[in-house]
Amino acid sequence: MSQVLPAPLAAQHNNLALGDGAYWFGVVCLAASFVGIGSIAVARPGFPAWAVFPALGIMAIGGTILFLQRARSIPLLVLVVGIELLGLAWYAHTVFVYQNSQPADPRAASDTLFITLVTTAMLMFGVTAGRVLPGITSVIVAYALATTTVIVLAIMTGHEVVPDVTATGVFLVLVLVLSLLRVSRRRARALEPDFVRADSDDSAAMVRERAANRVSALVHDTVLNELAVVSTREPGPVPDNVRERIAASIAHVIAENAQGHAEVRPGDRLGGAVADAVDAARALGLAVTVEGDVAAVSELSPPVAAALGLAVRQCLENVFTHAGTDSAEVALIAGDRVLTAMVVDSGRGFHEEGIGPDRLGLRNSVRKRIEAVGGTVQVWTTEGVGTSVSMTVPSS
Amino acid sequence: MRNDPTPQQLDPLGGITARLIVIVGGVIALVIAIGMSAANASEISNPLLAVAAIVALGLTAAYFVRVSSPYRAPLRFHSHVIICLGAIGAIALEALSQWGTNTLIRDDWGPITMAIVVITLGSYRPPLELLAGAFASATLVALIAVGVSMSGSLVTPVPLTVFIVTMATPVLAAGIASAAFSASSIRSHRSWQRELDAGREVAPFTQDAPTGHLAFLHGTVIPFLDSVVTTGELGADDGARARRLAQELRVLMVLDSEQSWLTGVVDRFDDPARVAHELDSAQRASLRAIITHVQSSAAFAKGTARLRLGLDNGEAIGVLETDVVAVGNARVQLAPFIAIARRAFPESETQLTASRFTLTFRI
Repeated sequence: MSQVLPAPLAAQHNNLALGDGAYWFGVVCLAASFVGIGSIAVARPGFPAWAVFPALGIMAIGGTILFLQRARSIPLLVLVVGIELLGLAWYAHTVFVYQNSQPADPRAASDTLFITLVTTAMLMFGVTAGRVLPGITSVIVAYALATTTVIVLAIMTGHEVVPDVTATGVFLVLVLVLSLLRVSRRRARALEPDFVRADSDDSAAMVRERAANRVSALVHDTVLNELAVVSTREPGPVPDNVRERIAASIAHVIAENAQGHAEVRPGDRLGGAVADAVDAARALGLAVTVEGDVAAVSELSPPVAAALGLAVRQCLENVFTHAGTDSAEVALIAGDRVLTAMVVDSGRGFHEEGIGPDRLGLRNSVRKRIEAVGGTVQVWTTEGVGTSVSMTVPSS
Repeated sequence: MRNDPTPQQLDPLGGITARLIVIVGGVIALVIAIGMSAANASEISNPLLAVAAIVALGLTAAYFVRVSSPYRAPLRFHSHVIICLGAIGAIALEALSQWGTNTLIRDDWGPITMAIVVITLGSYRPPLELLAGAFASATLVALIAVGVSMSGSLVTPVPLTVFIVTMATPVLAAGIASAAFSASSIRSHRSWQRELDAGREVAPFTQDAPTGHLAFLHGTVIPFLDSVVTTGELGADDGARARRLAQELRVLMVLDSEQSWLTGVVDRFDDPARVAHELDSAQRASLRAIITHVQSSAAFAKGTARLRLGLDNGEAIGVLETDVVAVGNARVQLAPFIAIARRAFPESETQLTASRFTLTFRI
């Protein structure tokens, strides 16, 4: 079994889970606002709470659209931003007008609690949008839009502009946590190539053992019998039926041995430019093992498959030329609309920043080529331990 | 519910990723608690209880950091309960420290800091348990809010429900968010594992030269039999040679069958009870990874890795030992390997001293 989730998929899963968690956080904030304002409306019949509830509903709908969205759609994101701003403006207007009507109670006039709840909800929906807009951009945009809307509404309604310390604190904590997560993930998964290699070595060892066991059983049933027959015969001509039996036994053993190797050759199902890259590296003398979702390569569009194949070829050439090892692994991992190819070696490793200007392979043939088809490249390398180049490309 | 798999168990490296957030979250919570206590000092009637509240929060955060260590993975149910009770205790102590003088609930730090602490539990516990914990914690915090409102010092002219909402919302929202995070992480991981299993390739291709009895078979025995087939004659010595070849082949087959997959993997190994064959693929791969690391890392002495496998009262156990050169580096570098090893061997213990690393595990 695979010991670790590949880093690109870990980032994808983490983003998805953060988006789900943030969505429910936002929904609870909106629900809390509903309950709080509802209880005030019951206690104070003069409060036009009915105007707040549709606004909260609109904001919840916007958040739910983001929650259900799985692929980036700029028009849909713009629509959601519009829905959220409409709901927030409606809500803030109602709350500010009510607070302005309570001049006898200065605390009620400046209380930001209910504004904080909806601003926090909008920030959380910004995190949910981060599932299709990686990075912290969506959170920053959500905070800027929410804060600006609240300030504009406060000025328009003649309400005191009160800094929302809590919402700003939530924003800062979110930005810090999202930034730290990237750093922490990179650190925690820096040794991923070691686990990939251990998985690969173990699979190879087990297959070799199974193949050897099969041949051994056959040897026991055939070759040892033939040797026993030969050892008990007198010198002289060997009858035809004995010769035929010995020949059949030899053929069986040779065929079983060949089958044992053929069975463990997933690279045969690998097609296209990636297969060409593997064959080219093997022709150089590099022992390349291929594992994972080899069939997923056929789902790539022709330009993406060609770019990935050429990038894998460059990586394998780099291993052959620079890594100081004669073996490498190519692992293929199919994700949700993406395919990740990892080229792993246990060679001498390097510092990517320290590569001389004459060695353009990683920068041009790998990074730029993959990025040109909408993919990403990550490199983990430790001097003396090895290198793993992870290339994630969109699949059809 | 308590024994359901957790995101940390499915993806131990994810647990390490989240731990940095646990540490930073704990520090942020403490800074907020101290800062808000200082800013609202006029509302504190009992400074000793105010200090006790901050200490309770600090101890809770420190406990969370300790139990989320990969060396102690996985984080257990009782730890979840202790973390929640510790944070609620801090809220209760803060409320008591302001008894009769608390004018505004929304400037109390307790619920916010509890939200910061519990939200990271999503990486460590199953979703249903987190959901139950969120509702139970929110209920207790709501009861504290009722108590605070009964003290008669609150000045905001709003119904009791608003006080409850103010105090319970951060705790409930963070708890539900952590449950959603946990559910999503588990769902994604299982989906990946299903795809991996469905499209699994049997193994990588490696064209090794045959060794042991196979080398003897292909290099000596088959050519001999082939010569018998080709010539159709048996010479004077061929009978004796066939007996000798059969005997040698049998000996080599027995020797090969006694070989362990650990041959060539670790510097030294003892496995008199042939326990190595009982390890499953996850356990073998985990041991391979950790052994390869200690053999290649500068933090460990070269050539000192030793694995002992055996039986203890009928149960298979293993002990991996190696000499340590730089203990600080070793601890940090080993963390991912230990996290993975603790998933493969739930009953395992790690000892890391200035001179020695020992991993003891039950199979």
